[in-house]
Amino acid sequence: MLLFGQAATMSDIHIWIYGSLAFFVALFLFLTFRPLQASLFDRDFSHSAKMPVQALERILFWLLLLSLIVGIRSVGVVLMSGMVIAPAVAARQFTDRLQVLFVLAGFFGAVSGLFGNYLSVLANLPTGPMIVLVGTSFALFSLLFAPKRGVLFRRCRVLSFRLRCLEENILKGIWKKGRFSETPSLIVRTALWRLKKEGWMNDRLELTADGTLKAASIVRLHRLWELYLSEQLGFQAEKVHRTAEEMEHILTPEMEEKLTRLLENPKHDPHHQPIPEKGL
Amino acid sequence: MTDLLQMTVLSAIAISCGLVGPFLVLKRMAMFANSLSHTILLGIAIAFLITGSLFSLSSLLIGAFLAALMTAFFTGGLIRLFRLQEDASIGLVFTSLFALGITVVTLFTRDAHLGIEAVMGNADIVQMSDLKLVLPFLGLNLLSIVIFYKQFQITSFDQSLAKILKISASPFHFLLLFLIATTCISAFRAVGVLLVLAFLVGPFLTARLFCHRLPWLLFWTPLIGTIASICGVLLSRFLFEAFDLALSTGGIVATLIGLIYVFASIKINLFTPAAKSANLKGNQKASGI
Repeated sequence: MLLFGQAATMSDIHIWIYGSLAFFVALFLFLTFRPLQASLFDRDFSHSAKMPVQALERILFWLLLLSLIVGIRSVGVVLMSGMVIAPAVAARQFTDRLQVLFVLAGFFGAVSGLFGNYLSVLANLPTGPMIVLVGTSFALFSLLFAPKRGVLFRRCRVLSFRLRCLEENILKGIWKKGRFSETPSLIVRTALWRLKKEGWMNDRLELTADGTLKAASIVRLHRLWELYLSEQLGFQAEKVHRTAEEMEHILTPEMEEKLTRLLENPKHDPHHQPIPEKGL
Repeated sequence: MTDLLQMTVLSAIAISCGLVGPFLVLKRMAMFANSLSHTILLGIAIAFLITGSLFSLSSLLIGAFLAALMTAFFTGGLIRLFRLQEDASIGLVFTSLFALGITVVTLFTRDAHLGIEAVMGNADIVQMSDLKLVLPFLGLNLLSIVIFYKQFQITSFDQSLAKILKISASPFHFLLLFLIATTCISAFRAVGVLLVLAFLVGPFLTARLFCHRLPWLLFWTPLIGTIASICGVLLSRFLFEAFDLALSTGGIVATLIGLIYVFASIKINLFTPAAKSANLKGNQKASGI
């Protein structure tokens, strides 16, 4: 059955035929890896380096055709496009290197073929759809949970950055007003708990010595940035506060160093507030 | 009698495809329609689970609505939430939903035959009831295009103009998706979900070779589809009578649509550029350049 694939009709000879086809494809990828990589990422460069880009693309097309033929009996013609895409999507979430991508995508494809076939035999369902469903669930799982690129990881990074901003704002607020005055919501309580754990704050919500230094350094970054905006970039003094509110959480020690040198170790910001000395 | 019925059903499908097809290609949604034509299998399967009847008008409408909604939602979600490229996410969504559709159909009917029938269609078993099913969908397409002609035209050609005229694009985008889904579903029995794409895209591409006005395109596209349908049924009957070849009529019609496009484009590419450049030269001479 060509449409949906029927693994039950396979016999020993198909192992040899499809195995050798797959081996041929893998061998070709291995041998032409460098020029292939160049033409995939930078077509103009490989043209100018006199690589046979068009020949490669044509061969790649035929290889795709070959892989589709390999898939007809197990997955079927209709769903082969899913089998071409899904393992690559899954593998892409784990790596930024092309070699690893090839190997990983092959691995995901093989595993989804295996599990899909097993499920289809187990539940007496058509083979091709089961293989594609397993492959797609791999892809979805990787899109959600892969380290670095997965949605969950990205969300966590955004949340932890927001929490850090909140913590630093609390420190700054106490440093300026001398006391903590906010109705504690859940997230603020989390931030307070973390501040205490890091030793920047004691149980009576007062800054420790470390906390005072940290708060001063944040205020210093804020005022340095305000001064930079107004002096070097020519912004009006009233308009610099808002971006400084954001930049104070982003500036690194190296940037602080350079800003200090650029502004010649300033003492006052555009609003005539003192800039705290570099402490930490 | 059956030939006449086949011709009528296929022509009706061709006309309703020809009405939405132009907007589809103009909005560069052909791949999306391909995706939709696959996912309606899942839509139909779910609608069958809800209503309990397979080919009633209400269950088909629910199925089309569900399919359009799911496809748009998942494809958009993959692009926005997971930052996947558009082509990859279309490919991923339609294959997986189609696979799910086949699985659900097989699971609940224990009849793999339905799956194949859904994919390939079978124009040779159409009955009077199929015609009654196709005609309301044709009417729906005709009515929507007539009522919202201006909105469809503006949103497919000029998004910024649509914004200035306060025509919000997304309802019409979704209406078009829904119409495509209903069209695919109405074609489900006769030509199957895969070949309907040929009906949606092919005649319009042919018509665009020689015609450049939207109203005329909306006239020529259904006409070409209808001609292909009628000739296809005749050819199929002829092949069966003369050579005893029982071929899928839907497949023959789709092949004819493809052939018509190829011949038309060859003819126009062979004759028109020469004629045009000759014309141009004549004009240049006349204007003394």
